[in-house]
Amino acid sequence: MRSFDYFRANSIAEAVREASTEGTSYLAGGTNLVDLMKEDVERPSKIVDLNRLPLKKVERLQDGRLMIGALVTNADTAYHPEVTKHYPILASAILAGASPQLRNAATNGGNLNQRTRCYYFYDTATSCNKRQPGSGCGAIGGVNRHHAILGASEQCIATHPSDMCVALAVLDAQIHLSGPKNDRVVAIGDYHRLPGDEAWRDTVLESGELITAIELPAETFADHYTYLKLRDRLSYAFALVSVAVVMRMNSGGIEEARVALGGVAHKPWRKPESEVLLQGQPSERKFAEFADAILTGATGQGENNFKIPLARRAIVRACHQAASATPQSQNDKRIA
Amino acid sequence: MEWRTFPRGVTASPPLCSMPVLDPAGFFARRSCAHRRCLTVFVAMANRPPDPLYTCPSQFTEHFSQFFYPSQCYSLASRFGRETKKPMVMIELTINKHKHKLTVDPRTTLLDLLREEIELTGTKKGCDHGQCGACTVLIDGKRMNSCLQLAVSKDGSDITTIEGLAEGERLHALQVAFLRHDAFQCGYCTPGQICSALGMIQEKQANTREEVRELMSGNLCRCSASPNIIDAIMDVLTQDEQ
Repeated sequence: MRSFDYFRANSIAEAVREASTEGTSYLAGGTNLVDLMKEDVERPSKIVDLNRLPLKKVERLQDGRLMIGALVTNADTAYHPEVTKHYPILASAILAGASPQLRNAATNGGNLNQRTRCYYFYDTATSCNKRQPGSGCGAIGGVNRHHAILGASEQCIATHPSDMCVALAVLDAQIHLSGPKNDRVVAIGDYHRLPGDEAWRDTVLESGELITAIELPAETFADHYTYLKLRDRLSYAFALVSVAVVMRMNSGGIEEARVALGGVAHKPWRKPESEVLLQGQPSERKFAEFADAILTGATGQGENNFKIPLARRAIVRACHQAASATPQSQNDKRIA
Repeated sequence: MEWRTFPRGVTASPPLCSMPVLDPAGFFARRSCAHRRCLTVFVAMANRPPDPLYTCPSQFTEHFSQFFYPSQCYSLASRFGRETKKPMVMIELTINKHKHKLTVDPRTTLLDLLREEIELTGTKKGCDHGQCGACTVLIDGKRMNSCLQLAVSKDGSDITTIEGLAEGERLHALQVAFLRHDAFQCGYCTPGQICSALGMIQEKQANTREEVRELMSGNLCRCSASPNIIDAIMDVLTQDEQ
């Protein structure tokens, strides 16, 4: 690991001020950053430690919104009574990811900002536009079983590895940021970027900006939801394809449905304009129609071609699970 | 001559540094192991005069920092008369109920600190990337991978390692259960398994065998002792409930 200057911040203002130096990284749980520093992928010249900042609270506001601090750990979020009761899809998605030890250390802010697990991004002996802009993309035409089928560019076909963010996408979460110029709020759908010509930029976060909280709207979707994650191992593996579904149902069937996909693109993939296709009485045909709509334009890279039919079937199955209120268990991995 | 194996921190490119990997004096040689996960470093440390190749102290430190823990790196540097600037930070940790005041390089992981400075080598280094769970310890009561925690960021924390579980000669219930169920073969993953199991029991999220299996998935056993490990944990878990 390369040497760096270390600064422990005691307030948000102090952290943001200290981060104005070029080459500074924020450190929270460390589960991704420290690993990438060992791999020599991240080479910060300075680290601002956020662990003393007062961002560790989960708070329900008067109007029903839930504010989750950026430094609350993934485990504390998943097991928090407000989350398990009102936003079970978020708990389910978090518990589908990583290992218990990692979830105990990893924070929500860090989860949003985690980097891709693309092999080429990790291996400094290969080319990667995300790691070294302009060097090319080794994954295109290379080993790309895990890579994107949607929204990829000729510069980068990496996927976003988070499970939590897929649930946040269907919950319409808002990300609260503090920065050197001002504070702002960004919708989860706008927070992560597609690679385009700037593969090295994962998010819209500006230099020195800091996530302070994740805001969940008052609307809860506690009854009809599922997080279905398909992967090479049953536990402790990144998604090949994952599907988050929430539904609001009434006597006429599905009143509103939201679906997001993980493991298939540079960001959690949603197509809100197609979600109207799911309204009405639930049926296999309707789910399949929607799956075709959200997968419009899906392109395989060779080794990951299987993801397209897999995603289609996973969407149909997940919609069934949500509509019939039988969410996927993250302990019993049999798919109902 | 002594040899040490280190997890791969640096891959083939960029080159390890601008200086020759194998110096003409034979002072320092490097060889990659077959599976590319580690560098096997052969070091002859005793009684060598300072080598003229390493003239710049910062380069010297940078060079060695690729292979050694920072503390070793500095002691090597000072051994050969290279004074280097030490970006050290003072921290205080409670480890197995003992307070430690330490001065650490910010790069030091908690795992390396425990093993190399405190000399508590019960905590094991497996992958060094948070994937195998061999390094699991309890930090303020929560199980975490100590290989991914920078020691500086844990200032003020309360750490429990495998050495802190037994009370004198009296083994912890989990240690007894692991013995009774023959829950290991080579034993390398065992300290991590036991610390992780203790953390899991305290989390109170696992009740069934299925849940225990899922919530122990962060600890890998390559000797295929997992069924016995789960048996041992279930034993303690059901004892606790009674």
